[in-house]
Amino acid sequence: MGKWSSIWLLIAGLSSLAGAGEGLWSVGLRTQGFYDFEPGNDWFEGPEIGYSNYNLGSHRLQLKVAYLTSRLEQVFRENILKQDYFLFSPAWHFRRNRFFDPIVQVDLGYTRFDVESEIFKDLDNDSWIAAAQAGFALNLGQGEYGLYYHFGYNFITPESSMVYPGVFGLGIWVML
Amino acid sequence: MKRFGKIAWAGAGLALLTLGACQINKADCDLECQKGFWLDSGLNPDPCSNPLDSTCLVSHRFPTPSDSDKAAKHVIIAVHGFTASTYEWEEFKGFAEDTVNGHGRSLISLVLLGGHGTNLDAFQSSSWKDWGKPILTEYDTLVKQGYQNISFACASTGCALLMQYIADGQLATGPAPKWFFLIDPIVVPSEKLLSLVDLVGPILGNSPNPGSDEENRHWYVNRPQEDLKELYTLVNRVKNQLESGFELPKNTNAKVYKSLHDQSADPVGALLIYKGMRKSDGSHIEAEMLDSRLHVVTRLKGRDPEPSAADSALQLRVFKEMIDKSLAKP
Repeated sequence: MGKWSSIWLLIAGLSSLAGAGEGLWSVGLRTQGFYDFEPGNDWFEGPEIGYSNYNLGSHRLQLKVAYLTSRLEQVFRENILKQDYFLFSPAWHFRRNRFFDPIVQVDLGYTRFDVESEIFKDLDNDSWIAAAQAGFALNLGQGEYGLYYHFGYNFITPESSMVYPGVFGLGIWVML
Repeated sequence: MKRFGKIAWAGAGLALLTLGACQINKADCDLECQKGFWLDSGLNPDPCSNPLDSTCLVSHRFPTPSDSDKAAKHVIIAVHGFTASTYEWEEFKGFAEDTVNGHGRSLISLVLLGGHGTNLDAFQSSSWKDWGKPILTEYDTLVKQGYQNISFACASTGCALLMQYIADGQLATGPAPKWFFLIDPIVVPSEKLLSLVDLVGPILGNSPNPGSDEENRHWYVNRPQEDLKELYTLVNRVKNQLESGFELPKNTNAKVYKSLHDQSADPVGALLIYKGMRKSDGSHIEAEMLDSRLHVVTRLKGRDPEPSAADSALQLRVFKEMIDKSLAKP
């Protein structure tokens, strides 16, 4: 619990630094997978909240937090691991006001999975996350809603984890 | 002129990259290797690669068991891992076939995987399907010869091959195997870069992995990208099968032994196997996480540095348990 509290405090602190005026909030659905060029990818889905402010590079810098999990898929495929991601993802938008908007993003956060049985209580079941991604957003309805795609590289891939280096994400959002 | 300069620089860069990739791709066989001290050289093959050898496979050693032996003898087919050879299970064979430890009833069949234990060219041109064929051949032959008590012991990639056969129902043709003993099965590689082998493989090419002198004589030192691709295809296939779930044959049991700190096979694989491979009644198989830093703790010979007393004790305990379980009545 200590690690999770630290993560959320960090996110809250950075968000506060951005200031409260002229803020744009968005909410969306984010999915994430690992590319390994083989069928049967592991997918994670979850909500994502975004915030930008005129003081943060004229809205070019967007701060996002996301909770991604395999628990939804686990309902249908009970043998997959129950894994969660808690991500803070600052993204830089190169053309925030245009339809085609190239982006670069870093993902900082934490992941863990349930060990589910006493037999596996000694497994290392968590890891920090640090990834760099690049991609693009498509701004629709004059930026009221849109979608994005990005791909990149996970720099932390411990021996005991289900974190692979090649990562990509898809998402949709709507402005609040 | 400016454009020509750019093209020239780009061409030079491409040439250097190609040259570099060719250098890296080149299989590593130094003087020591060429003299036959490495398995890769082809000068010092695994004795079990000789089809006339009568010391490795039980089907060759005892092809016509008596009626009493068919029921009394317990055969364990031992399957080694990626780049390894039958050397990996020699200690277990020595232990189990000892009349005291094995009670005179255990026979260990050392299977050499396809493409392994001979020379690097054979390895490079083989697929994971080729690797597994000798397992099925030995099992089918033993069944035809009338052996009624057959179990399997496997290490690392050998376990991935066996699980793939279990999931496909290819070991359900004869009497159901009694036990599967999985030692450090690989389902998720510890080195996660392997997941990008299709992308970085052509750049990285060959990935030599030298060990002790003894290990270099019994494991391929070179790991060509073609084989790494085959390995990843296999483990990813097994991972997907486990996530979909499958069952062991009726009356068959299995136990996973997994090192907690393993630089080859991610320990999380044991959890995936525990969840995904069930007994025929739907109950869980057995699993044990071992406090060890060795990959395949059942092989201690030839390690550098020398294994600890704790590793030796662990090896002995696992050996005893495997024998006791395989000999026990259902």
